[in-house]
Amino acid sequence: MLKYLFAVQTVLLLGFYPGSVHSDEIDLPVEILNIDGDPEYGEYLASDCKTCHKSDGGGDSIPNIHGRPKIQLITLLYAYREKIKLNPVMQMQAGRLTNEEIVALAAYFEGLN
Amino acid sequence: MKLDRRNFIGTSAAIAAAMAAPTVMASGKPRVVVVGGGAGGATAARYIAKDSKGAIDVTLVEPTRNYYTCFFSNLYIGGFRSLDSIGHSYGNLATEYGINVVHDWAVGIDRGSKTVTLAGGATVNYDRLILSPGIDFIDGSVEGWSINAQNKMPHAYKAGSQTELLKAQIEAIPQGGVFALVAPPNPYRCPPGPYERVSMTAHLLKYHANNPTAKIIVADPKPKFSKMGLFQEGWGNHYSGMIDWVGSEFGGGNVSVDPDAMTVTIDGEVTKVDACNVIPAMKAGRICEIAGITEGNWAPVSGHTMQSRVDENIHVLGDASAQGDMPKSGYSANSQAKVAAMAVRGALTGSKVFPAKFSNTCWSLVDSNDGVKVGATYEATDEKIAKIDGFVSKTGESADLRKATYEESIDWYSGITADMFG
Repeated sequence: MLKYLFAVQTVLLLGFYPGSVHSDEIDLPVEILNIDGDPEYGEYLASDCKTCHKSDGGGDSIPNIHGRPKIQLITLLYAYREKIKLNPVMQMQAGRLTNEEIVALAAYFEGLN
Repeated sequence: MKLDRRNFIGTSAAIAAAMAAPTVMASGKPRVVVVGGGAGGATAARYIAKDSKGAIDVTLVEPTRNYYTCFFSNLYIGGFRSLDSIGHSYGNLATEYGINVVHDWAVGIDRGSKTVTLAGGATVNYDRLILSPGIDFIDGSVEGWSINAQNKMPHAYKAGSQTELLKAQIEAIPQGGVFALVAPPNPYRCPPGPYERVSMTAHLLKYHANNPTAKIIVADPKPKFSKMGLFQEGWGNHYSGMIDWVGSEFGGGNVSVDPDAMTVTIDGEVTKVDACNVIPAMKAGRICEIAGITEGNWAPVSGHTMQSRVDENIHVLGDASAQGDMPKSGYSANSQAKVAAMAVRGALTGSKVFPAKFSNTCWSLVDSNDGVKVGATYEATDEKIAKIDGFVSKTGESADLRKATYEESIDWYSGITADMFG
């Protein structure tokens, strides 16, 4: 396991939903970091995200995730999947993602401006 | 009639031919025609145009120039949104995505020649047809009510002037007067919709119409409904004594109305009402029947591609489809549209096709800053779209969480309408 440390203020900047709890220390399995991620697959998977996440002018409740660094999105999706973070919509959406799909999504969104 | 931007950029002979025979000429590119510009159709048209990068000609047939979303129309009734804020034009789809937007009614489909006939008389050719017409009402499903009575007893289940009319009628209810809502049987568009409407009607009466002694009677043919515990908790908390829900065990399904006398009869008991919202039983938009792809009231589809089980050249989205476990909602239609768009592009241009994934979340507002939600994820099996996982808000949640849920719904509205209309 590889530990990634995030300062609390960095996590808050990611636009967490009110009512969620978060840990500033999330254990990411090292294998997830060795996956390249297929951006084409990520683009298809991302269409589901885009129902709520706008490409511009995202709100306080549902933030804009376009262009976010890959490692941030991997960490967030992993944390929602493992129910470390609490929003039920995001837990549900991330709950069905494999490691490969998480990385594909993160790679795709990182490539957007 | 302006039918196809590209067709009219050509030789004069081609233009003359097009003018003489009102048939949209093939441009050489594969053609997709989408009927219905709501959450399913607008999304499908936009994704096919965007992702095919001009390799597919997309025509969107939608009669209204300004489309009012059914979702969030209850918030207009409650005074939380303006009507303008839930109205959307198709300008971006035409200008930014090159979609040929035709404001007309589709009135005929010839599956043999693969053409759609418009009310204006023209025909449009397709290689793939996407039908996303929403719902129509089953005539005679509520005794005494017909579409001719929709001004006296509005359905307000297709948003726009009907919603405005219903709100005006609720506002005009005299002090201590009676509002009745006749709820529909399953399956129908937006399962929590009638109950959010009850909540928003109560809010309007109590806080905006200065009429907290008015009564709301709900005649329901069902023994239970979506988010029932959450709504009933909220009605007790916010609108105590205002709402009387009559379920099927108490005769709620044995209902008739008299729009001229303004009476509602529930299980033999006649009540004079001051306003009445009749939400009849529903079926797929009529164009599906015309196309001959319905079985019973809905159009069965494969969950893998949203293709009709009757005709593989037709995909059916949203409320009109019979697909399995997904509720009939704008979010569901939007989700299904992306699967269909991918399948259509794959079939017409050979682009990569991935396994279908679907999701849905429905937010409802009970009172100011009191939002609740239900959601699920789905996958395609050979038999149907099958639920994988889901959640629902819990009774007794904190005020902060309910406020956050409401605020989340506002962002969702902004997101999905951007996803539909660009």
